[in-house]
Amino acid sequence: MRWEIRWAGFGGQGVIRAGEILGRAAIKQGFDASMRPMYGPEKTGGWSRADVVISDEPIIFPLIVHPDIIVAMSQDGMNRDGRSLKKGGLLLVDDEIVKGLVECNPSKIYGVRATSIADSLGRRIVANIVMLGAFVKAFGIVDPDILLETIIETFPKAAELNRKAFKLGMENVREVALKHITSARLAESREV
Amino acid sequence: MDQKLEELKLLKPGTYFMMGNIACAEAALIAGCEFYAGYPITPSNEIAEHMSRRMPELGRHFIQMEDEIASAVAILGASAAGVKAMTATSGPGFSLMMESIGLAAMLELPCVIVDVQRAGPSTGIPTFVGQGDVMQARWGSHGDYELVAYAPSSVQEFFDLTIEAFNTSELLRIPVIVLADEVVGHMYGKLVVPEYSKINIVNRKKYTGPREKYLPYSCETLVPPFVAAGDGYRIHMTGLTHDERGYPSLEIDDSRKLIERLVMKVRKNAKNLWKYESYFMDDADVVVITFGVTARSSLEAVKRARAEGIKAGMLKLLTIWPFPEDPVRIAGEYAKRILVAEINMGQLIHPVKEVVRCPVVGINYPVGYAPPPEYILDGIRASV
Amino acid sequence: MVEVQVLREVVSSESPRDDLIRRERFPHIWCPGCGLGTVLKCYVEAIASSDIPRDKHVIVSGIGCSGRMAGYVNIDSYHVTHGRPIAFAEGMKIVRPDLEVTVISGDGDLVTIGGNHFIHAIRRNVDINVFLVNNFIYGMTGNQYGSTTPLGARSSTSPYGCPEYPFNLPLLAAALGAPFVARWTTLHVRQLAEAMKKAMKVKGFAFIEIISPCPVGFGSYNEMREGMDFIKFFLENCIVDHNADLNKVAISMRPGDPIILGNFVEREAPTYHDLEREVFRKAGWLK
Repeated sequence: MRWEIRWAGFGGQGVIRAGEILGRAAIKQGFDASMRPMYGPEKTGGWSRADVVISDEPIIFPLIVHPDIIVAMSQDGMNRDGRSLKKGGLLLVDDEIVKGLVECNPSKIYGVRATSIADSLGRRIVANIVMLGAFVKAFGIVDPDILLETIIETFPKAAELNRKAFKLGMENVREVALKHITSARLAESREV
Repeated sequence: MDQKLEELKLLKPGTYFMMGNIACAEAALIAGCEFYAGYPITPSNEIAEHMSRRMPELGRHFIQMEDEIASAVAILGASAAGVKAMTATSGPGFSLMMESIGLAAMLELPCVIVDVQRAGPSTGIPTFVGQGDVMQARWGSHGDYELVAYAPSSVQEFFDLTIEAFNTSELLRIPVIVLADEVVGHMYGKLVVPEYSKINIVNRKKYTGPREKYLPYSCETLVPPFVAAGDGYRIHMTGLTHDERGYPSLEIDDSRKLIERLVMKVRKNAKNLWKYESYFMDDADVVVITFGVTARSSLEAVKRARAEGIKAGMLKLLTIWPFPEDPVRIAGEYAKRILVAEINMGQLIHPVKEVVRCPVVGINYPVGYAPPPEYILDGIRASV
Repeated sequence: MVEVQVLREVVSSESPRDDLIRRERFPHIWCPGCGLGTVLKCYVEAIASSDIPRDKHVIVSGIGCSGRMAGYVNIDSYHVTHGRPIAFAEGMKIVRPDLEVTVISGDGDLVTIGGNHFIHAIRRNVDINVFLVNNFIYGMTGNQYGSTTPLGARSSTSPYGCPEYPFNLPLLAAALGAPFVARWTTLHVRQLAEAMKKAMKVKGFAFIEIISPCPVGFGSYNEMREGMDFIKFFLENCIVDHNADLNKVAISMRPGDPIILGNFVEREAPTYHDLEREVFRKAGWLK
């Protein structure tokens, strides 16, 4: 079994870090994994993407063309990468930030208000960890305990904060409905 | 490198999920790199960043030079002082290093140059992949010389071939290039660091005999033993064509002996330097020859072609230079057609054409992007 | 007009510094009247009288007439690519701080094609010596103008006079923070050898600009066809002023416009080696 997961957002949201943690957890669990980070020329605020492949066989082609799952942490990420979703693929979004679907037809949409939850913990920077919690609850693939353990190893100094963020992500993810939006609405949503 | 690897703060044997560039840096540390000089350039920066943190932890030297020209020369100065040295760069910086690749070949100073290829020409797309430096790696510096270039296609290979690059450079006293690419450099993948006892580390052979008898560029062997600055041998090294003493010479015999040796030490060892992997070659009618990230797309494509009943095979070259003539020639003897897949408009295809008789067709992908397996598969389908 | 008396000594086949010279490589390639022989002599004197063991001395040269210096000194010697000896020397010195690394090369090599390495090595204060032999021209390649050719001077590529301002090298080196900056001519043999000895003791980047005659190259284009023309010019126009205002030491090579000489800068500053040790401490390697 091979899972292709594309995380999309903007620089500073921890998109690439989330992809790295997910891949590392998969390796720990005995899978093969790869993660390809990509980003625009801006170091912060530009577009950002992490393509994660997890497989129970050695990965031959490590890149992604049409992912099984897209995790969109920003509307811009949706606008840019939504169309690449495989037919019948799955979507996970921060549904407070991602207002609508652009050229994508997921079979199921999960939402979690990752940024708000992170804010409620006092650190917006852990939104990606909330997202990882939501991800593992919604899609499985890796063991949640191993994923949390990997997160804590990655940020040993912020173990409690990340544990909470991860847990809240798992607890608050739910199926949501998102409308398709037009380019006019799209421009509007970009200003948010 | 008198200390045992176990006593040093190196990446421990085990399984990791690591970025290619960082795996390269950690491999260099294990190989015994004691001097790193570089200049910032995407997409090789993570190597320098990682080395800047890790080298001082081991009491080794990291310096950021004023440009790639200085970086490539500084590693030669360090190498002349007897230590293993490296630099890493990408296309534009690689162009600036050509001068010193020639100097390294001429002075026979071991060094490792990592080129994380990006889209070009010129500035190209700094964060996107390319494979356009194949010919430059081989022919970029003026004059007659040979060198070795390895091309990794995974994080594991980037790690393994970086250690191999140091070993080969020490063994043959030549510059060795690790011709990585942006995907392999930036990609995270599984890395298994073996037990240190299983890692082969080569150090250059040193001369320890009497000073009067030392001929620094002796033609008795292909690779004369080395002495470092400060060893007391009063060595003279020059980029001018030189005799066995290292003194400039205009004599035809000296020129012939020197250049023949510089070239033959690689050519005569070529068979030992060739690293490649064959897939489904037993009965292949159509063979894809490729390297780097393109090998990852190609293998997937070959598997799918097999599922469609096409007798496809693949030869992944890990050594690009010296060009692995024998395996390619043999592939050409049995195959009806050879396809050369690369992210450029056709570079590796030329040495392939030199050694095979069957038709050779390029599968070329626009610079900046790694070809998806479908693209290679279309090429395979079209060839049968 | 200063009268110059030429002493014709008996040419000896031996020299007290023979063991520091690669005699088997003589005759050297330098033209009659060239100052490089004097520079070589001063350098081996400085090595012989330095406290540093001879086999710790290393010379690195680049390309050009001065670049051949490395080939004649019987110590570890490296003759590298054009403009790059400083970068080569930096790599060597950083990994082997116990070596006394000296770069001797020309103006075209070190501050024209190699200008970038020159300024950055001084800025870093790498503990090397750079003895730059300035003959105002690219001699070996055929007398083209360079970054030290005086304004208006003729050369094979400035037949109408050089339209560029030359470097004021002591000012440049001092501005970049070099702990030792001196300028002497090959006429000032004793002072030059002494300055070289000092440079070897200096911790950090030590820079000496050596003004050297080039009768066959620069001279033939600028009415100084004999070595003696330069020596006379130096005698008539050189002023020693250790405290000179370095803003005013640019060289025009016009009669009456003095060439200011001296040991202009002698100061202490932490070297790259010192600063790197601080990095080693912070990284936990050194206590």
